[in-house]
Amino acid sequence: MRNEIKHAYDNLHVSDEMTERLKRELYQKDFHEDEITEIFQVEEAPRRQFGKYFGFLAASVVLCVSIGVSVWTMIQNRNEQGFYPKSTVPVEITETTEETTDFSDANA
Amino acid sequence: MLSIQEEDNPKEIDVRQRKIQMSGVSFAVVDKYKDMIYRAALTIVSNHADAEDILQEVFFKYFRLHPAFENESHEKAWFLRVTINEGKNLMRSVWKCRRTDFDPTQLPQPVTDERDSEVLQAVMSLPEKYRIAIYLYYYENYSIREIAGITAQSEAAVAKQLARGRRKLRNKLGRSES
Repeated sequence: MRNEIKHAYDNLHVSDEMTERLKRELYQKDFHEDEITEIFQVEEAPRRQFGKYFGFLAASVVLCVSIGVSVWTMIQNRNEQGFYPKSTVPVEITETTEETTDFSDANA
Repeated sequence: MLSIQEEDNPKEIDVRQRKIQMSGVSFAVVDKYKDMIYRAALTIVSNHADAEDILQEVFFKYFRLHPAFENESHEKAWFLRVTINEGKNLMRSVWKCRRTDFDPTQLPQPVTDERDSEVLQAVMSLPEKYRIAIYLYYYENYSIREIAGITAQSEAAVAKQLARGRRKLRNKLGRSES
């Protein structure tokens, strides 16, 4: 089996035309440019990570502050019943006329 | 031969120096390993066009990375490992849409011998992992331990793949187990 496989595989080889094409491609490719790109990719990676970290941090701070403000507002506006927010609707104070009772007649 | 002009900037000179170096000395590597890479790639992808893409990609990687090797066998193993990885990546991405049956007569340099064609078709019809093991063991004369190192598998797994691949191949070629 080994000999048969060897013999069969020996028929497979890269043609001269394909070799020339490959060499031309290799010759024309600017590997220096690739290296520069790779260097930039390596340098950019930490910046992207920092940006992600910074975004997460900022979102956390905003969330914490808004929760704090909400709680503080609730505490400030609480009434006797607890932490129910006090109504901000202005209450109309209607002036009630006091009925004066004259007790002089009664005493008399 | 390209010439380097003094008035060019250092980056340009460096690029040209690299190209000159490549065109002279390093292209010997292309001539040395092109057939081996092509055969290994064809074994994995069973397709001439994809094998050619892999061949190109492996050499791009070689010239870009300039890896240092301890000896010739280390260099050969590196090329095979990169070829196998590239082949597997390609198979993963185009498996469903580009998988075609291998036909030795459709190659740029067709295999005309009937028996060789039959053997190649039998090998290519095996599952991918068996094909690689069979190729490395029978054609490249690697031991099971070396194949395990190249394909990043355990020796037991490679031995199993070889045994099953061999059995399937015998069945396909119409031979008895003995």
